[in-house]
Amino acid sequence: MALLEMKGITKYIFDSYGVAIRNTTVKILDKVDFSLEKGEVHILVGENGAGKSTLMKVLGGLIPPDEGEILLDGKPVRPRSARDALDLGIGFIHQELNLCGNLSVRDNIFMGRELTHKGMKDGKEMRRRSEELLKEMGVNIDPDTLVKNLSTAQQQIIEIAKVFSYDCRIIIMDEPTSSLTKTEIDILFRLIHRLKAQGVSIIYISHRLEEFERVGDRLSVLRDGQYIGTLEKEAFHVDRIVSMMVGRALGAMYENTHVPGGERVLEVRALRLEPHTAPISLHVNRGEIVGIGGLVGAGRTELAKSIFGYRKSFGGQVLYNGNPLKKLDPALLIRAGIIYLTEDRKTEGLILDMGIRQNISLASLFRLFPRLFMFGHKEEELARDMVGRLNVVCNALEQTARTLSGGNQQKVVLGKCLATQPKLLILDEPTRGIDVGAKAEIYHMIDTIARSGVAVLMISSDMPELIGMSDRIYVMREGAIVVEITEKAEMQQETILEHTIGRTGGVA
Amino acid sequence: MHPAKKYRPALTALAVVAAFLIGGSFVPNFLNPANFLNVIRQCSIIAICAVGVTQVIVIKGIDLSVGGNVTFCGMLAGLLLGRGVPVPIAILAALAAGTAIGLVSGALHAYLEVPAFVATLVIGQITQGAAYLFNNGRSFGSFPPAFVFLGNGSLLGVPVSDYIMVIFVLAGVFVTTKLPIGTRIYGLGGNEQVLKNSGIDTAKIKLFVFAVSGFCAASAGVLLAAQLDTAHPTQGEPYQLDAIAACIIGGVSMAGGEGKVIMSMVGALIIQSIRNILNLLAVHSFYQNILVGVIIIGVVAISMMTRARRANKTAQFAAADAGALKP
Repeated sequence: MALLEMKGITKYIFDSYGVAIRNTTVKILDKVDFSLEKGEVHILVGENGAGKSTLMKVLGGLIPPDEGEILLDGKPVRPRSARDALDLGIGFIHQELNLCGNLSVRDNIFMGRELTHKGMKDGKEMRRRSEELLKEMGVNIDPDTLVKNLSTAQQQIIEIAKVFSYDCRIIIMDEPTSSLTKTEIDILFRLIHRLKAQGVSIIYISHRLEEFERVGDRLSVLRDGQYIGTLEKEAFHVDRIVSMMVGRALGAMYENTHVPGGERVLEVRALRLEPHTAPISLHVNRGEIVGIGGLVGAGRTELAKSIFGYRKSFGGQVLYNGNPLKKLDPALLIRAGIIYLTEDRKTEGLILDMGIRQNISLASLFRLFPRLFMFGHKEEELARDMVGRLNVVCNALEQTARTLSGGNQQKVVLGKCLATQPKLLILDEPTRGIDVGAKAEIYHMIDTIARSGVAVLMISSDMPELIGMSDRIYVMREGAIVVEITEKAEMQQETILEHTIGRTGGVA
Repeated sequence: MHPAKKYRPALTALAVVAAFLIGGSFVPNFLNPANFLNVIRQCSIIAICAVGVTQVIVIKGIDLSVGGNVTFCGMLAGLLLGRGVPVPIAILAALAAGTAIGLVSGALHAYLEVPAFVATLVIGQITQGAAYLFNNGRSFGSFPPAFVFLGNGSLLGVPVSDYIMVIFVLAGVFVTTKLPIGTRIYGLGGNEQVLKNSGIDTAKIKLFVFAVSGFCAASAGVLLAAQLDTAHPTQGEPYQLDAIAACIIGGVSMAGGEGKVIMSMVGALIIQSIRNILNLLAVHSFYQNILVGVIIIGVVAISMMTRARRANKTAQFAAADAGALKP
């Protein structure tokens, strides 16, 4: 008998007040079945919006199902809150960080079940146990550190530690590796193997095909809220998985129909990110896609933000179309034809409670309405055009950005950038956390833009993407560029990785 | 930890004390013990209010009912004492009323999701209005000696008000740092969703914090009536801004999640000292308000600037990150 069985789980679409609308045509989950054995790692895949997260939120007690039942050890259960689920032994590692930055690591781990001694917090014991837990996980983080002082990757590790400490029988991991570096992913996978040996079952949601083989025992596919099928480990074939996910064969992922031109659109000369880091020089030509590789925190985003005037830099010069830019100010740069697509669409890219129309036009209002008032339908036409070109799946132009899936949100942010009619497009992780289908569409779009003569500077942690899209690649480490790779033949994962972590060994 | 970082709080405190003594020595009579005792006696009212307000601001709230609550509870105690109710019972009744007022604000905020700003502003208006009704806008006075002793008496040369203040501050420090609910209060200011996901009923914490603030304001109101031997329907008003300002000067972040009760007491002491110095220099009270306002803006601006600079410094690059995650 399976440890966990979910039978016929159905969830109708709900309106903005969270009330289910009994509409027989639109369901988020449609009679989904799912089973989990003791001690297995069960991969759950599907495009964004396929219902994976919703299904897991039902299991994790965050959303009540409209129909269907959950059997744990053969007994029906109905978790009504996250706490209920934890008491049943079901832990949930969220995709978004679920930590209080202003509290210490220790206080975060024990939030809601603080150890006490005569009614008072037992700080020493909590410290000791956190230390033990982190050591057991193989990481060296002081439990008294404030979480906000940790890097994103370290925070992710704490998030995982927190759920591990609950002694769960089932752990749900919703894209746990999306912000981890290679070293940290290795730590996580070691932990997963250890947990498996202890008989813990893991449900693992991921978009990264290469992770399936490393950790998965079985794999289930959801598409459009429906259960498509389950594969055993022996049957993990990328083509098969992808075709189950998208319901069609996927065309070529990367397109390279653009031809780099000669004129330099952007040239950076001897720019320093910090007073102590090495100077950075780079250039991007017309119609060229230039990639920037490196680890999370190598200073790539800082470089992009420095060029775009979001952040202070030290010394150096930025030339645009051969002319030095006197003042790096985003408002002026956008008017000049430079735009930056942020890596964090939810907090920096979108106004989540505004509609698609307003989000798309936000950076172009100066162009659409050069006078004081917003007259006519220009804004709507622009939004409709972008939604069409980028194939954003939505009900209406007025739909709030919050209700869109990750891939569609990303398309809206890209649409906002394109609406400014840029000559230089700086992309920061343009496909982070979105599904394969949406990725392919975004790649196609980037290629089209480059073909029209726009210079593209693209930061990416996704190696195949970096290699597949770029004409040239700069690799960054410790706030500086360590190498420029100009030949397609030299663009190998191993070569780039070597440069990102340093040839001398370092953390690898 | 870097030594400079480790000793920063101690050095800051030392600098403040030095500035206080040096600056104070230029003002005639400021460092005179009798005047100084007066300052710390008066600052007790602000400090007691600030114990509650600190916690409210930490959970990203704001309490604008402090002024009304101080007045209301002072007037209620005055009314009861005037009717011959024994002193302890009058005090307890006033404290219970103040706590209930805090609970109402808290319930509006926690369960009806009224923004704290609106809920407490309205409750402050209602209590202020009710305070006028107790004696048709007139004041109460001539309280029993036992009651006045609380406000003006001394034990071992130290005003009784300050013993009460210290008890409140210590209790506030104890709750926020030693009890589980303290961690949850700070957590609530940091990220409410995390607490909900951990199965914590955040509405109860909000209710608790607003009740505490109501209780503190009520205690301050009763103590103020005892200090002045009068309960007048406008006497709580100045403490509204002073209580919030004490927290801000003490380093409580309006963005929530940060701030210490003990530092708010220091903030209260600073505000009262400034007012006292201006009095000694014979600055008219109208100008005093302007100056106090300017000083608060200055303090807030400086703390914002240093915080921004510190945030910039902690932006790290990969080498440091990877080093801390040794496999």
